[in-house]
Amino acid sequence: MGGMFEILDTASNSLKTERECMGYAAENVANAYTPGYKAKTPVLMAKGRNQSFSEMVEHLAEGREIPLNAMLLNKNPGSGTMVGSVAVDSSEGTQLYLPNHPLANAQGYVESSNVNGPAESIKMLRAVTSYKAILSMVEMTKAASKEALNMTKNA
Amino acid sequence: MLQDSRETILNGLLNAAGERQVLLANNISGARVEGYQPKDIDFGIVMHDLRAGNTNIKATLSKATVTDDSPIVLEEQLSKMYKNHVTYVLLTRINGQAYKNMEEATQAARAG
Repeated sequence: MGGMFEILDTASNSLKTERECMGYAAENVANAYTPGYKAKTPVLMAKGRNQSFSEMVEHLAEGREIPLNAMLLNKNPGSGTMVGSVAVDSSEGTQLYLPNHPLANAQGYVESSNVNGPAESIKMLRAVTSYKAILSMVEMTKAASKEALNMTKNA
Repeated sequence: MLQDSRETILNGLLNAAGERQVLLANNISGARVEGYQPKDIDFGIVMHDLRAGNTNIKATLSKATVTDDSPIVLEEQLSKMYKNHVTYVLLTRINGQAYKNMEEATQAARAG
């Protein structure tokens, strides 16, 4: 039963990460027509495991003391994923000849953004697929916890 | 004694199924992380240890945890998780039945 809390913590961290990924893809698409904008790509990494709530309960059950501070400061338990860094694509965007544009250079060219529309759609689709998989994981955990809580009732 | 060993095996398997859910959840979460290696629990090792009378479930689980080198396939991990979920539910029901039987036996002994 204790492990169930950990799954929910892991799922919550990973859902947050996938939402952030969708946010970056949305930002890129929104700026597809912003001159000079460089596409951003989040780099995902595995999140270090903090002490989970269930572990704290286990410590208490074993008679070990838990500092109150550790319990209060443990805002982000469980493992899962996190956005480790954000990679900015430094490649140059297409040079468009727009002599009347306020950002045009001396030769009349404006550098467009380097956002690749279809690539961003695929990134977003991947994030949505992962998000759905994690949600179904939460549903399974919910059903399993319910079953464990009603162990003698359902038998 | 027979009841004891049966209960130990059931509890051990329930623990292993719970721990496996955690590992599979981590695999699903880490599916998009570069270089993440999926982990799983080998139930054969767990069963062998439990049958041998090993009661240290934490040690058994760490021994039975295997790392896979192949890349994570989301669908495969989800189906594994669902199968393990069914196993977990089944084990909780068997465990629940065992507790119920125990309760009935205690009541019968009191009445008798």
